[in-house]
Amino acid sequence: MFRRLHLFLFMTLRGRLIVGVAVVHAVMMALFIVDLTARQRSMLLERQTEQAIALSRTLAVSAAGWIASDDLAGLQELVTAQQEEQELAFAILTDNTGKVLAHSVPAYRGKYLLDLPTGDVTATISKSEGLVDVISPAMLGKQRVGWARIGIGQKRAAEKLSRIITDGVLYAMLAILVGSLIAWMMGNRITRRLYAIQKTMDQIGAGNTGSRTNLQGQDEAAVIAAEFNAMLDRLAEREGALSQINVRLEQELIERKYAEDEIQHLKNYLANIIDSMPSLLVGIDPDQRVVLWNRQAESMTGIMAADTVGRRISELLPEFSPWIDSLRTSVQQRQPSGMEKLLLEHNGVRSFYDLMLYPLVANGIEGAVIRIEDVTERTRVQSLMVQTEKMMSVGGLAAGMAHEINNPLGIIIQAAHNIERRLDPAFPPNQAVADQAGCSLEAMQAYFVKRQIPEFVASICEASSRAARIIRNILDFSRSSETTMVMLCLSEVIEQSIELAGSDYDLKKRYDFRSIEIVREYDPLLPPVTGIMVELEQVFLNLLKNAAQSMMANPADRLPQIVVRLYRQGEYAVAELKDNGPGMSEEIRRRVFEPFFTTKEPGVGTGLGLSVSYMIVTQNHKGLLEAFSSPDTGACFCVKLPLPKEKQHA
Amino acid sequence: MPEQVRTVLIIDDDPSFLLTLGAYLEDSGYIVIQANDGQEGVELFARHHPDIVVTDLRMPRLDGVGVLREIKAQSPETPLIVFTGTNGYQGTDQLHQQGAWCCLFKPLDDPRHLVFAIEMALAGETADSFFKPL
Repeated sequence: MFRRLHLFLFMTLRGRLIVGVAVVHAVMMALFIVDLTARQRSMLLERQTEQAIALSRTLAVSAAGWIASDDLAGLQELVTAQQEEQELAFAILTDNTGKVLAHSVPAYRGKYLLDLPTGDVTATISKSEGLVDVISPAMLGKQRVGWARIGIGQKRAAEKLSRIITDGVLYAMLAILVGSLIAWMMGNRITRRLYAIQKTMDQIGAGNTGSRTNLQGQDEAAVIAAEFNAMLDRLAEREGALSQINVRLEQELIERKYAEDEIQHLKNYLANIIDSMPSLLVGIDPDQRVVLWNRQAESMTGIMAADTVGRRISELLPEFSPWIDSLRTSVQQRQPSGMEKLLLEHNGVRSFYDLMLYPLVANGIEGAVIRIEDVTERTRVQSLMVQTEKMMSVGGLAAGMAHEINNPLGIIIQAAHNIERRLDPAFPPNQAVADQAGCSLEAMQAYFVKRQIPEFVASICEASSRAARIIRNILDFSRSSETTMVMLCLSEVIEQSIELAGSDYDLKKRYDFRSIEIVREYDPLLPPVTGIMVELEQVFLNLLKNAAQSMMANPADRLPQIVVRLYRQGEYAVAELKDNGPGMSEEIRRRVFEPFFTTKEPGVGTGLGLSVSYMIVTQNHKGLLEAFSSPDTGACFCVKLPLPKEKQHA
Repeated sequence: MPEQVRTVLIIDDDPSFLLTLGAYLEDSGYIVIQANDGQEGVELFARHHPDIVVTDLRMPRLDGVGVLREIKAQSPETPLIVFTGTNGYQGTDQLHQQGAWCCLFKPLDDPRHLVFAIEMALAGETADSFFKPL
């Protein structure tokens, strides 16, 4: 309560104004009252003094005669008469010596006054609020005979005075009250207008921004209000502009966020594209330091992208480094360049790589992107296709050649048989012709036999027949159009292959296949399989050739031998070819079907024979091609072909 | 010599082939008529009516297919053996459909095979039984 009052009175303008006005009022009134009472008091004192003087003079005049006559009774009567006078403290009549002749208190008669004034004038002995003491000379003619002294009390005056003071204080209080009231009203009046402004401020503070102060007049408050309104209008305007800007900013922020999301999305998308590339993609800066390292690069090198930052490419891809260096010059001229089918051996596995270097100018920095692709598979397929094509063209050539040879070969065979028959004495027409010619058939025959003519003719017959068979084999082999699966007797296929191997030129050049002992262990109950004759012949021929070539290294006491076994193993018909050559190490055995893998000298093998065989058996015939070996026990290859289902049920 | 001498018409554009095959067939007891191309073969067939025809496929003027067509038109009963150097000829099925008795490929290991074929064809047997024993 007190605190609120204190706040109101001293902390508000209204309170201060009221307090100020009240205080000023109080001070003024107090001064006024003090001054008034002081004046009243002195005026009262003056009147009292004048009254005392007049009384003393009157008494002196009246008493002079009585003094001169020394009529003490008369004097006393005179003094007593004075006592009617109100407020009379005392009345004294003395002679010139100061001897009290009469006194309002008779007891003091005969005593002396010692403080008589000098001279014959009325004198004021003392003047105070309690008593005015005046003494006047009693003159008889020009002769002073005595003194009349009057003392008048101030009791009434004091009462009057106190009443005046009381009234003054009362009036002062009233004036203060009225003044305060007026001050309060004025303060209210003045501050009301200020409060109106404050109210507006409060409303604005509360959020009602449209609030304005409507003040009439031209006083300071009105000016402030007007200024304030103008300021508010400006503020509102500015706020409007600001909010518009805010809205725009917000919009922009949303757009930017969206754009950011879009960028992030795009970034992820790009990163995914780069990562999902089957190629190794590496970005490098002009200092050959890695700035991009995709997932393929990670998986190929085993180095994570995070570990590549800032490292040199020569350190990360040392095996490619020389080639990258050699390609750099063309990249510096902003030309993409590349190298194809780089052969690298990594952990004993030979792989082919295409290397491309693309110039990349980003933000003015000239870097490059390296793309490395493992093309081993593609190269293998390409080589296979090339090989197939080559074989087909060779086959076609051989076929064409064979056709041309067929006719002359036929002529030779027929001619030889004709000669054979026409030299035969047992052939009846010969005798007749001989007789016609006049020569003895017997003599001629004896001559021919002596000169070995029949043997020569027989060898022509034999050789030309063999040539005919070779050509037929070549033609059968090269007839690639026969790709339909037919029922085949594996033993026939093997026999055909053995014959082909015997007439294989390449093989014969280095080795006489016919000198190899072929041990046949055929299961007579083996059902036929479905297959492509030419392809299976190719597989067996290849296996036979490999066996023959490997056995060239056999010591003299170990005669080359191939054991061919045909048997049934579950759902498979198995053709097993086992040689007694040097065999293979486990390392070679594991890789023997790998394309381009060859243990032969450069130029001897293509490294494709077994891989082609493998593909023929596994892909075209849904079979299995397996290799078993250990050094010194020879190599064993198993061709497993699935048996037809209906045969299995039978 | 067989009592009934059979006549064989051989058609081939290679004179040496004709010479040697002709000699072989004559020695085997046939009367041989030789033609150097299909056209001549068809003309000689019309003139001599041989019992059997042996023809090459690739020939100038008229090829073996043409010969087959012409001869089958004149005399459907006469057997015709195609004897070609085009080993692995793809159209053998068609030749059979058009009436060829069989298709033999040059060179034969032994010319006697041709004689067997001729004998079987003349005996009215089918080609299937000819291929069986071989």
